[in-house]
Amino acid sequence: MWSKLVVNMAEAKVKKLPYDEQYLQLGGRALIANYFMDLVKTGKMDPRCDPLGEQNVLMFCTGVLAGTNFTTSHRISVGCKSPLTGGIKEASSGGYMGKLMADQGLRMITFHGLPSDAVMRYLHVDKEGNAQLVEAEDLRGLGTYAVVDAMRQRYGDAISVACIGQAGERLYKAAGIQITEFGTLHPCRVAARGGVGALMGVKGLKAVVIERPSVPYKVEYADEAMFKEAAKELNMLVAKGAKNDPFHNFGTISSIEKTGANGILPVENFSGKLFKDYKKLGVEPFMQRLAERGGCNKQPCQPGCMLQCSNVYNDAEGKYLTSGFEYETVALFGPNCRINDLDKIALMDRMCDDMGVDTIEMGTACAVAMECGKIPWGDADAVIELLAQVRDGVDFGNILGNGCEAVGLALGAKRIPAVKHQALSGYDPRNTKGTGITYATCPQGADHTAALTMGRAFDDAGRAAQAYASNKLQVAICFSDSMMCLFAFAHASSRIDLLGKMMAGLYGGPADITRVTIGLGVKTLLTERAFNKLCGFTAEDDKLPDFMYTERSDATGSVFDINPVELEVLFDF
Amino acid sequence: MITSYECFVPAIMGSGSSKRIGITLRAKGFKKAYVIFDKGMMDFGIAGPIIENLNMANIETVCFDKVTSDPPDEMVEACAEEARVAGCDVIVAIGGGSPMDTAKGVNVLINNPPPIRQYFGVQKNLRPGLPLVFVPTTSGTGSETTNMCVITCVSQGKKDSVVSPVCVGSLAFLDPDLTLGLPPKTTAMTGLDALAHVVESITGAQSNPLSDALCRDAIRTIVKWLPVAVADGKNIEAREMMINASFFAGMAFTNALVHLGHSIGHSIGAVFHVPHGLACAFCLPEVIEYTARTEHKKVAMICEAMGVEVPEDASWEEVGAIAKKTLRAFIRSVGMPNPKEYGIELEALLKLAPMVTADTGFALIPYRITAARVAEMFRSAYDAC
Repeated sequence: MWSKLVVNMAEAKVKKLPYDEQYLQLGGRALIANYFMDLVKTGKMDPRCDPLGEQNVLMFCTGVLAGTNFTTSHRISVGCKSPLTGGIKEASSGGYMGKLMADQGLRMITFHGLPSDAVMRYLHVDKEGNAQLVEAEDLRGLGTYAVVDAMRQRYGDAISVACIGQAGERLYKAAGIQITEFGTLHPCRVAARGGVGALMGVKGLKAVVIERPSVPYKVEYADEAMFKEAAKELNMLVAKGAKNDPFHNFGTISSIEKTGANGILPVENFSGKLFKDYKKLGVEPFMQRLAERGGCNKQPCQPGCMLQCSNVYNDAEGKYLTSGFEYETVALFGPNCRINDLDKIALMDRMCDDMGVDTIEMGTACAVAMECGKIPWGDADAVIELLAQVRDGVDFGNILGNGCEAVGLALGAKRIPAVKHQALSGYDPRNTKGTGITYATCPQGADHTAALTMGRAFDDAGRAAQAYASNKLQVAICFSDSMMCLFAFAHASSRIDLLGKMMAGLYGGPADITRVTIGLGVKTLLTERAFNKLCGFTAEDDKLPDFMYTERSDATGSVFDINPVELEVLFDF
Repeated sequence: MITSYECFVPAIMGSGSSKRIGITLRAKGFKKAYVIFDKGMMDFGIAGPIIENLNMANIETVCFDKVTSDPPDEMVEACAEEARVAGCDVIVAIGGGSPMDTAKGVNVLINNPPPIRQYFGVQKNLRPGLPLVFVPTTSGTGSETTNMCVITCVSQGKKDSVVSPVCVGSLAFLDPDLTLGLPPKTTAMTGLDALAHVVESITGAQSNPLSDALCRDAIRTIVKWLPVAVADGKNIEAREMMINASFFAGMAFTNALVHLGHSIGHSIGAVFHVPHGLACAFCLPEVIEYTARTEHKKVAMICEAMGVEVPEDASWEEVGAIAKKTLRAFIRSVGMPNPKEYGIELEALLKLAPMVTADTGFALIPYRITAARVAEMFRSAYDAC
């Protein structure tokens, strides 16, 4: 029987309880939507509450297939009412924690209330499954790499750590939660978006440390043979697809080869220009440096992953610099800031990981700062200096730490690339309009994992079929985020019927795909939207920034010209 | 708006133009043609003279006369296998939509391995096939000018399409003489297919000034000449007007793409085996009324091209209502039944709504609607007069 941990921060107490029957067939994004809506319905949370106040709950949970041998079934989702957007938030991350939660028999950990003292603590789950809050004043002010080192010294290497750095402690709205990768223990996987790190910070929680249990939890199947047959088939499909997937062969940085060529790559604060030097940030220099400096790609962030999109990137001296060095970071600190120096962007990535802050918010915010004349275009050293200010909580750092919109408002910027207060990711919505529809309508705010429609409609810069592609993909990603990694899902999508079969094999009931597509997909989206509405969101919040409708992209001449009615009815099911 | 004008297929048009097929293909250097048609084409004396015309120009012919309607993938694959064995240098299709779609499917498979169902959707990287030459014998499908073929997947029990440059013809012969023998009912149904192409294209998300112009002209032509062609099949002027309108409509929807009317048509066609043009026409008035919410200027254009004035200050609801009424009156005027008169049960029809929203073409509708809204359209069209 699955369990959950309920952590009372006010009393610094932890209870281990049976996992709720009503949430058994939910996980990840679907669980978070339902759980927070239930909090509202039962009067435990005022939807308009202060996200950093005592009513907000911080949740860590696994996907619905956790504990099984299905590939990538061990992502972790962090949920709350977002300190950044004010609406529902599911920040999804890879790393080893999902697997260790499942091995401990845990589907969910919730943190309630605020501490009654000013003491920093961490949650420790030991080999035998005992959980307690431990005082951690000695970790206060440390970066995430140092926190992980301290935990390794205390508990060895058979652990996973989720922690905040200085950004979370400073309650920045762009603060994320860093999660250690499988094998290397680098804290380079991130529940990055929506300011989840700030909520962890206000709760006085520096880290969650889970040890590998002496006896791993054994999942109960309704029909194990049925599950394993379906899982085997899908695993093989993903393994086959991965072989030719650039994310596997190079990493997500490979996306720049496509976005850079066709004007989707954001350049100089989403000016819509092309970036001549995009290949300097592409696959060739990346792979060359990995080879020359003893770095590597094809790293799995969680055990059993067949996609293995992660990497280790060393500096010019061959010394470890960063891991999980991704497209979004390269795009937004790179061309979006007119920077073409891969090593300096890698350093920015490391700084962000170490202080625990979202690289998307930082990259977009620095570009806005450049446009407003705060620092010069293309000045990588100035960006590095600003990031140090964020970490140290000095000067402009206190504004920058709150993300792109905060910087834009502080500097009087006219062009702020954000929706629902959350920054746009590395795709210009004028040249992938379905992605623009996703940015506008996704209940999570402008999001890089909610449904990038590139290549799925007839013409990325045209209108036809864009809304359809966004709708279909938003639903698919909603259920994918509830059960697996979306990169693996991309290769499994031709046989989603097998997901229904796995649900039946695991939980019983019919092998019906609608329990996935509607139960975990459509219903989740609608619940999230209903939650946001209660939080005060209206149709006005489902819009892109004005300049996307009025300024032409120089790369294509395109503006975001999707009919507003198409956005209004996007979630009519 | 930035758009691209797609103009794919050159055509030789006019009464008697199909008699130039032999000298034209010989001038292009072809030596052996794989000729695709259905048995009726031979029985009605249409395929024979064309094959003879080719042979007299020293072009050898290998014939495939086993085309069936709504071309099933198995038939297309068998035909492609014969074509590969025959080793021809050009493919000629004679007939309506089915032989032309078969020929396109064959061309997809000439240099790409079967089954064809793996190529459903937009295909940018297929290996090229042979030059395709089309000789349409109906005025409706417009397939001679498009880059797609519609194939029935037998194992999945549904129609889907391959969209690819491999489906684009090299040349078409638009000879109205070949349509003179079409009976009134077929004339009306195929003509309404062309009408559906243009009223959906003009309200489609990829419509552009070129497709709009083609649509407006085709609507005017169809409204004036389809009733004439239905009443008097031997009227060569009416036949020529209609074969042109069909070609214009095909060019229009190559640019602008069709949407909901065709999703409805595909679903009704698949379940009740209603001829394609009629299946698309059943709910066409309701479909265009629905589009008025976002495309009311285009819907007003449709009304004007049909000869009905729309007040300048009309709301989108009013424009939609006028279009619905005008389209229905026209469809009825060429003798077409509503679904009830055709013998379809209302309950059975309503059950198709989810199939419509699952149709591939549903991606292209102007704005999203639910299956319940589609069912409302069915209700409205069911016994409409």
